[in-house]
Amino acid sequence: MEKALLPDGSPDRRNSEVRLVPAPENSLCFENAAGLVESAQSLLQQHPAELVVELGQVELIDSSGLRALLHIRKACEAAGVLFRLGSPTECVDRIIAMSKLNGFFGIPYRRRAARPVEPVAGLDLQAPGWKISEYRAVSDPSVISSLRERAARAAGEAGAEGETLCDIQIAVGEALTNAYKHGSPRKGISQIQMRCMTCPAAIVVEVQDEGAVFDPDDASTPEPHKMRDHGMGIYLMREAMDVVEFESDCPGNRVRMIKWLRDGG
Amino acid sequence: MGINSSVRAVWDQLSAGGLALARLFKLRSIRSKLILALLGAVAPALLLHVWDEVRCVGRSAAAERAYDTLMICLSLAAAALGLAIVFVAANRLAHPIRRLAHAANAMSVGDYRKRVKLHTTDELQALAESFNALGRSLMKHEALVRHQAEMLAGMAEAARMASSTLHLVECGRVIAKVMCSHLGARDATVFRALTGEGEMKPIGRCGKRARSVWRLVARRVAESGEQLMISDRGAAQPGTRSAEEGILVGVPLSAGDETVGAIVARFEGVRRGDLQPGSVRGDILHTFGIHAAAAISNAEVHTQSEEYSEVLEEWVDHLSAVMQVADAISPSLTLDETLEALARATAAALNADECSIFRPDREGFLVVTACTNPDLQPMATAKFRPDEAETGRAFLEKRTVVCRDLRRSKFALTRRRAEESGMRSVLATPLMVGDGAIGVIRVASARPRQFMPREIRLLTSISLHTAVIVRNADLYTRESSIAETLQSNLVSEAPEECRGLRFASRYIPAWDEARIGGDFYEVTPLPDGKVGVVIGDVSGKGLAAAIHLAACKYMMKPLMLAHPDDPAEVLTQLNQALNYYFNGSFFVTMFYGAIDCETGSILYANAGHLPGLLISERGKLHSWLSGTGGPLGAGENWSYQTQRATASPGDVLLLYTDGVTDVPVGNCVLGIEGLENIVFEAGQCPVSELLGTVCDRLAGDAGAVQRDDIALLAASFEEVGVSRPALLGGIGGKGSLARW
Repeated sequence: MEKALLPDGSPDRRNSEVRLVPAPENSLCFENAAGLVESAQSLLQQHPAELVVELGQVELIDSSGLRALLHIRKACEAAGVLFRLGSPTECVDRIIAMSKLNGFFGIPYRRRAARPVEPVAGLDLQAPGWKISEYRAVSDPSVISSLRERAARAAGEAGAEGETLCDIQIAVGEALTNAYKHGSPRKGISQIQMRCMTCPAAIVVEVQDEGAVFDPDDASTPEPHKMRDHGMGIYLMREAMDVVEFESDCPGNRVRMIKWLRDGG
Repeated sequence: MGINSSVRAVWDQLSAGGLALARLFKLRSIRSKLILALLGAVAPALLLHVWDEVRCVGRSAAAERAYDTLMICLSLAAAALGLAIVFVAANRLAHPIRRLAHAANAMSVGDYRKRVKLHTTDELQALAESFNALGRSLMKHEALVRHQAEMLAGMAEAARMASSTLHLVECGRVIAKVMCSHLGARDATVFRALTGEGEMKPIGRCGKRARSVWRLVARRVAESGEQLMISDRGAAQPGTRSAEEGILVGVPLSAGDETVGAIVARFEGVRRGDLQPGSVRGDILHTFGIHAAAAISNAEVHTQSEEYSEVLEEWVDHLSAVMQVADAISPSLTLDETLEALARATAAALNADECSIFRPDREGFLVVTACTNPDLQPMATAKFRPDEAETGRAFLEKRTVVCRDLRRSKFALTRRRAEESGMRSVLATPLMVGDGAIGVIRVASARPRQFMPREIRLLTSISLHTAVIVRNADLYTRESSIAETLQSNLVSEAPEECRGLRFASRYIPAWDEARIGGDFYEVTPLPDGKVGVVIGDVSGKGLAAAIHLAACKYMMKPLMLAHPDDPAEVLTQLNQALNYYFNGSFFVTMFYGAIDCETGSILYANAGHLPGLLISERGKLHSWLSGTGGPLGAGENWSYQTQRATASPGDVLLLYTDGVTDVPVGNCVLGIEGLENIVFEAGQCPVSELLGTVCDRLAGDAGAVQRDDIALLAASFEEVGVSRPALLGGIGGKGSLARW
């Protein structure tokens, strides 16, 4: 643990307290990430020696949450305050590992287990046996978490658990966040559709929005520490899911994501 | 001068003498004349010589010399005389040649009237006569050319007429005019033969009006097809010549083999020979007749087609009136509305002031069912016996009744009504179905009116339509009232509240009563604190659908109670039962859900029905509760699966039938998306209000006609899970959804 330094390099002796930033329960996502940054910044006003963002309750984090953490870290750096993540959960570990930020946050890189599931050849979505649930919603931040939870529930019912379930939640969350942020020209009126199809072998999630056509290949490998405002979502989706396909369904875009399930086959 | 005139006198005498001499010697040729002239010139010298020979015997020398001198003088005189004779003769020969040359010059510039008269009795006279003959023949030729030009002009005019589609009368007038202007007739009349009657009808004239004899001429010409010419003495007595005298020529108008009429024309100052067939003008007349006949036939066809088009127009009127009447028969209207519309259309079609439709009631009185005049309706609703009014007569006698003046009717009631209503003439036709009258349709006019046969025919055809409508409507009403009774007993309002769930329901039958379908819904309390909700749509319409609906409903109930936890089993068993009893004669789509009122868990199965909508997140998120199998009753092999959805407090379950999604919007139908949009826009509101909004929007979109039944059932989970959080299990991560 390094000593806190002031911007001029001299050790800071003003305050040696450690302040905990309480992260929201359950999820640190698109809808509450901004709140976390605000509370961290208000704590920074008190010039603590160290700021710890307590993530023990965070079951789910997405790119917005990750960006919030990066934001806080930068602010700490600027204020000369030490920054640390407190007891990150599996999901937080996953997303940090996926975005290759372990070093940045000082978290040891945990090697992922080799993918145990073989892809199913010739996936027939029309075949009987698929459980299909369809949703249609107006673009609203509250709807995103609700839809993500429903997808997670469908995945859970199909047998996904642990890291796989975490991946699915991250990817679906990113897809929905993208649909809200970029695919809804009229917030609150534009509609987002989601279709979850599950069978023992796989879960397929389709998210459709009303946004303008875009080229998913433009989203190259991002560099999150550069604090770019976007570009993380598609990268994370591709990392988290086994198949990610984009279709332009004018007007609108559709992303189809497939995750092979561990006990399928 | 004196010498000149004396010379001329001598000259004349000499030429007269020469001529007399020539005649005397009967000289017929120039050669003999020349010989004579030569003899005349030589003769004096010869005579002198002979006389000299005679006088030479016994004369003295002196006398001889004197004599010689005399002889010389005489010889000179004789020579002079001979020269004079030759000169005169030459002149006599040259003069007629000069005259001929002069005349030939005149002819070369077109004056063919110049004639040369010579009495020379020689070849020159013959030449002059030939020359005169040439002039005459040239004159004749010129006249021929002029006639041909006239003929061509007449033909051109006739051809112009033939090609133009004039009206018949106009055509006749033009032909008569051409006859006068181009062919030299003083008066002309064109007669048209009336088919089959042998009558001649003048269709056009030029000049004086035709007298009766003209018509006779025309008839004879038309019968024979030959040109006819008689001298016309006009009003003058036979045998006396007057200024009116002329030649009457009848020219047949022959089109092909048929003679369509005749032109009779009067010529004045024209010789008979010039008009004879074979003469130039005669031939012109003949040809003109052929062309004129073509023109008349042409005009006739035109006129006929005009007449046909008038008839056609009348028929189109008739048809459009019937079409209007047919338009009034819309399936969306009730019988009364249809009859009202029909009465209005009929009154308009017949240009009548009022149209009423009467039907008999159970007691045999005639009652007004529809009437165009709103002022008259209260009066008209008074019923009357068929045998006490003109209108009733049509009903009893089953035939059309026309009454020109109601005030003179033999029925006291009719007279009184006419006074009250101000109607003067009526036309009433019974509504016949088979041999029976089921009512009367009547048009009335406020002024005395003679109804035309066309109008009577029109009303009769309308009455046929009306009768069919009324008959069918009676049948429909009977069936639909039974179906409606069944339907209303089978589909009742959902309870407002059941085990903590709030319900709202709407059932809007199709506008066409006889088309009532098999939409139904039901809310039933089930064991274990559950509530069963059902919405279904039985195929078919009317009575059959109502019966099938009843079967579904009553078979469903015990199955629901027996398997409260397994909707798929309920549908599977119901499917088997329906297939067993009805053998595929109908099918039913159905959504059945068993709701756990405490947890908000919905176990459902959907047999080919439209997806139920689970509305959550304050109206912002819809989950589709979609189908897991085909319709019930359509085959035994369908299997159904129970699915689960979970509602949280404030959520609403919305169920509906295809009457909602099939509501037309523009060129398309509303669809599930359209319904969802309405629900999105409605936002979060109580269920009854939500259904009200949906129904209002549907009514707005559907416009005038709702073709199918609409059934809506909504359940609100207001109270659910308030006491304890709903278990939404099945998902990994502890408590990730615990905030629910």
